[in-house]
Amino acid sequence: MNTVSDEHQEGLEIFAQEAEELLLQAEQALLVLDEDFHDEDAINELFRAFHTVKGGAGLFGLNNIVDFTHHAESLLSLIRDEVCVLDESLVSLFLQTRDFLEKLIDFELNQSGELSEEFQQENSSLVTQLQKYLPSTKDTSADDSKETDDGESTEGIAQWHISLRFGIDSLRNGMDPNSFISYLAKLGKVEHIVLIDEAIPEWTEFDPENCYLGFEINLLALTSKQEIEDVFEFVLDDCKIEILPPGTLAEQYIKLINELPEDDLRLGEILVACGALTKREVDAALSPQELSIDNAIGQDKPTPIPQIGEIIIQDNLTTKPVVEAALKKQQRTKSNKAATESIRVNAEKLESLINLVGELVIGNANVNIHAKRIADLALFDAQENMSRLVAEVRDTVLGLRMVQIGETFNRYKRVVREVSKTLNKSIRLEISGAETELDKTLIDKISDPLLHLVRNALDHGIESKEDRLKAGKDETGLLSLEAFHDSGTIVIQIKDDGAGLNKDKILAKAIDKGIIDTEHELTDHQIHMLIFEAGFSTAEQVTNLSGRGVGMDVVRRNIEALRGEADVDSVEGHGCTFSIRLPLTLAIIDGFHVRVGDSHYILPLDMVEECIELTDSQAKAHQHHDYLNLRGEILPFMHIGEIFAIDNHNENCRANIVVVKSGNKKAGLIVDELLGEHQTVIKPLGQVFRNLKGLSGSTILGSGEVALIIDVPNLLQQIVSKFQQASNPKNLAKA
Amino acid sequence: MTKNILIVDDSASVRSVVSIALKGAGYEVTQACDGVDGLKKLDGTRFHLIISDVNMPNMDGITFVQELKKLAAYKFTPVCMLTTEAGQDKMQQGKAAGAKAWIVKPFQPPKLLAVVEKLIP
Amino acid sequence: MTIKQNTSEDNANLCHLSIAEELTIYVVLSYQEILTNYLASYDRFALDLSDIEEIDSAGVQLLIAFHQHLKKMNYPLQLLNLSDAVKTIFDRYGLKHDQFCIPAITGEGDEHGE
Repeated sequence: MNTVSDEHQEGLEIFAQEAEELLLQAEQALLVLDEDFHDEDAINELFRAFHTVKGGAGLFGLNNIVDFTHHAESLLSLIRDEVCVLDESLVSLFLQTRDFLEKLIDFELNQSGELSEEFQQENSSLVTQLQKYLPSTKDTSADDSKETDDGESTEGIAQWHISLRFGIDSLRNGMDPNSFISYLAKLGKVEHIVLIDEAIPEWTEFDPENCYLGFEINLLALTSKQEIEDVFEFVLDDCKIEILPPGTLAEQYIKLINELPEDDLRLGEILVACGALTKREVDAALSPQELSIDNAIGQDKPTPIPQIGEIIIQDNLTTKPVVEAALKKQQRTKSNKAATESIRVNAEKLESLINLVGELVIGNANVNIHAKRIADLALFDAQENMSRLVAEVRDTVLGLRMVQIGETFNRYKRVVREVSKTLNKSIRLEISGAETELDKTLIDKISDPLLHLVRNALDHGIESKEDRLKAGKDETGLLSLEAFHDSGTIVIQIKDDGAGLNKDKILAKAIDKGIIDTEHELTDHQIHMLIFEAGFSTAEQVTNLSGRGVGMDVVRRNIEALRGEADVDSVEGHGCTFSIRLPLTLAIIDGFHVRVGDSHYILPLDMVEECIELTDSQAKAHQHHDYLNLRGEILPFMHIGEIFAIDNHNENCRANIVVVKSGNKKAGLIVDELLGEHQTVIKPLGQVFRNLKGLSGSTILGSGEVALIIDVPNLLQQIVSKFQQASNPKNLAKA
Repeated sequence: MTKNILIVDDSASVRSVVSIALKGAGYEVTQACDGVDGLKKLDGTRFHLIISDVNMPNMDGITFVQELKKLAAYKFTPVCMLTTEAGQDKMQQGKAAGAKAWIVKPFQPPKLLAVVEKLIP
Repeated sequence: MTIKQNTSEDNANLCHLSIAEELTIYVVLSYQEILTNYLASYDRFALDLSDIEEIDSAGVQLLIAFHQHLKKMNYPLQLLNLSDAVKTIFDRYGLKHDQFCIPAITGEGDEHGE
């Protein structure tokens, strides 16, 4: 059994994860608010995030976090209640607050000891800034009761009046007013409280298990009506509760006095004592000269006596439909939350599950071979069925690791916002394909290179406002992030409508740096691709954004390490598009098994377009070409045996061509035998073969033999460029 | 003074979540897996709050509250029912039996703690 | 039961009672009975609250009701030596520690006084 401290530790981990998610939500909400200061959903989301972090921190006694978050939460509750209005500077302040909170949480959970001075300074500086927006200079945090009220003017303080008359059975039901009022004190400061004991009957009539108590409470708090109402949620049924929000007119207090069962004059005194009314106001309203109270408060009809159990929120701003709509909305979001319920799983457990499934797939392939050998029909059927199930298990398990890329994209919103501020550029971010799913490991590894490309586009791609106007473009630049699936790969594009790549500059620089020699004639695309070469940087002016010592070559290396491909396309003056092509997963793929000589190869099935048979005559006809005519299309092809220098491949017998495609490139690969689909567990190549072009990994076949997995995009690149070099356009025209 | 809370629920995970959250906040927690076990676990201990699920084997939450309210030593103990959005009928039955507080499942620890703090001063 | 009477030699009319451990809804009915019984022989009361570890609103309400009853006959109720539990709930309800005391004989109860 777990000890309490184990449980505590476990709880802390849950808190850490939860806080991370909440802070991310907070950031996203803030970015939404940056565009629309009035987005209610985002305000609520933001409030909830801070509120929940505070609550969670409170659970574990992380008081530094609670205290700090409290200030942000208070201000947000004011914003939510529209007492305070968001503006750009506030959004920035909340972003800073959020960032600091992130650091604070990290510190509290991972380090021990006192906060450093620097930390404390940042803390108090932010708190001071937050407090500037609060209507009161007073700290209303619950634990701050030591702060005495030294007759300071109460004007401007969010002062709520709460009138409570508990139901006769409250005590019997275990609903002790003491608990609720003690909880109320957590929302703010109970400035005045008067116990109403008028309802307690004569001693002989007095039943001590009945509840005769009432309270008039003056609460100083930056909270919402809902929050106060929620305190009493369990006693709403049989208690009479009235909540008068800050700024309630004196007339409404007078009305309250009239509605309450106690003596008017006594209540008047109590309200004066609470600071809710002045003596003059009470005297004026209750003086015997006034023939009718209703006249005094400017109403003609007598007000109906509110029913017990109904909370009357006396507020001329909030009408009932508004409250109802808000409630409905709250419920909607609640049910949404329930629908997307999830379980947290330790990443290691998932990793080992995936490994096991990998072994299962190989094991299954092994059984498959033996089943074929034995050729027992029943066994064969059973094996077929099992293979299908194994494939399903494999897909489901791999699916567990798939996450939407949208979350990663959203992180860049913040980057765009900040960079455009720093550089004084106006930039709009467009995101599409946010729901595209990608292996979690890939997402983690791709987010840095992606960030670099985003920064690059913001920094070097999109021009300054002035330059854009000069170029006849809209002042606001557009950066778009896009993700989509394309033949078994996922493509992420970072597109800007900036100045584009300057070919001449790139060429000059590449020659200058000795990356190419002057002899070479390069296509536009080849020139553009030079920026991915080691030691290349186009920025004339090293800004604080690009001066990070990470070049595009590192980006490319990172992407290639993931069996991915980086590409760039640009039209000078019109913008630039970076494309990252990645495999869907790193672990298991559907492969197409082929044989060349004694060697086995796997092609990713998603990239296989079709298989065509190459007859002897055809083979002879094409003997001296390395392309063929596929339904009017020129298809370059190569023999796998040639590429990998396999000696005993069958040159004469009729061969098969597997047509593979990646992106917009297509080529044929000649193989000796097609062996069909194969569930392929990708094993990395050993260190020696790491730099081998054209292979992306290996796998173990059911027979125990090793098959090599062909890196189709890379091989295509080789074939196509070789083809382009070998056949200049004139030759092609003849053919 | 230590505040004792009894959690009655047939789901071990609910019991453990509740238990972790409440222990973290300094409460003493006793666990029981159904109504019968709940009555057994009372054992004369003074409980400041009893949290009970509705649907449980052996003895459901409603019956448990009804039985509890018959016991002189526990008839005034506040009871909080764990309900679901769909269990409104049961909630009314629970209220009638004397369980005036409720938490709608699923809930997060801060929500639970807020409810507990509203019921225990 | 949890009440004990201290004989008060200097004032034969004063009933000096001490309440032990708990003054909650579970025991208020018994206390009401006990106090009612003493009312037959005494008209002035001093309650020692120093031993109270737990008190709830029902307990406070009982004290108030008893106080109101005595006040009607112009007799004082003295609350002596408020325990921490009592002080806490009195503070929460805005009751002064010497609320019921005429004159105030509250021992250390003034420590938190407003």
